[in-house]
Amino acid sequence: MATLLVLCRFVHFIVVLLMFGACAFRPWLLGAAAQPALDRQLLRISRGLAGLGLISGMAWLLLITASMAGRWDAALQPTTVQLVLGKTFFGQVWGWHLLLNLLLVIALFKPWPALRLPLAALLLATLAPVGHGAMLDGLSGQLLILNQVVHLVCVGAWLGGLMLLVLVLRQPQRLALAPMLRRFSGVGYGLVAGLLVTGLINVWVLTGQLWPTPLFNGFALILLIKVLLVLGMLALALLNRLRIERCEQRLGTLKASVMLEWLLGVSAVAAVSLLGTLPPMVMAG
Amino acid sequence: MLIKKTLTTVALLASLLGASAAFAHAHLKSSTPAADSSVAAPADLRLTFTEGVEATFTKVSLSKDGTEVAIKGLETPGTDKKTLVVTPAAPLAAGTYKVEWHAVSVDTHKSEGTYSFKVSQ
Repeated sequence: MATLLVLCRFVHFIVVLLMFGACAFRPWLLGAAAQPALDRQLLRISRGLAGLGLISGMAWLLLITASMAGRWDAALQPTTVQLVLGKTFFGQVWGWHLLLNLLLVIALFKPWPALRLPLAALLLATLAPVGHGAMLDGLSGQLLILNQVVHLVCVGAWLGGLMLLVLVLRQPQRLALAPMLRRFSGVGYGLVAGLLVTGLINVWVLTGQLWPTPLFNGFALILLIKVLLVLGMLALALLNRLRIERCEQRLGTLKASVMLEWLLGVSAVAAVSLLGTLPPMVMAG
Repeated sequence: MLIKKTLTTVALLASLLGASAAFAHAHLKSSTPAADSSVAAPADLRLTFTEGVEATFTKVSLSKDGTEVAIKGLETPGTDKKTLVVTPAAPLAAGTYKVEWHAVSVDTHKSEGTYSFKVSQ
């Protein structure tokens, strides 16, 4: 049950993050002008992601129901699922989350482009209260959730932006790359700073320490792996930034390194999906 | 103005960091009657956890000298959902009681534990 839940968390998080990032970066990277081939591809991917998001979101609800009730068959009992939706904090948030996901699917199949980004953003924001974000109550709890929203926005924009960049680099007809890469890395600085600061705040609040110890155990180990993946991503980003001149001549390496950077990011999200289910702190005694 | 805003933000963040040591996954912080205590028959049991719990999915079983004691209600009256009030169906007779709890916290994690107390004449 726990393994499935981790997997489901991962799929759902990555899908929502990518949809938001790609939606947000599309006008920023490429301007308002239509790019028929690219836009068609992007729409197809977004539809797939939104559908996958809806499926993984439902699966998450059923798995949580089974986990809370402590029985597998509870996942298929409508009354128990209703209890989760109506009576638990997770369920109340999740009801809205699934509704937003459904609306996003509809907005992607109807010609309603203006609705897509707001829906994707709300979908991302309703992920924040779920998991350790719900741990504290009162003002601290609300601030922790707000912090998590900022963290998710930064991570989502960065990963979705990278996915968009991969798509752009794979287009047969050349778009002017250098200005686009410059724009991407300009926003990138802000996003990276945002995700590092909010990520560290999360660690401090959840563990009560600057860094959880012992270092190579459970929560701390996976956190360490996640941070190393993020650092690898940053190193690649910096390398590409420094070599931005003449980027048109070394398109092959650029493409490979952007892909690698994106994969590192996806792996970091996989690590954090596991983190969300582990206790951040082992109580003494 | 900007400085003021920055300071406010920093102060808010600091208050966040200063929040009483947080442990995800609900652990039992205290209970009434307290563990291993000897008391006069209480009207209800109160279990206070380190974080909010979902009363709908939290289970508490009470047994007296090995036999199950019926429970009438299980609820979290406070807004923070941290205190779980367990009401037995009938007044508790004298004897040794064992409380077994399986909690589901508001962040959906599960935890469990047991303790005992004694009701004296």
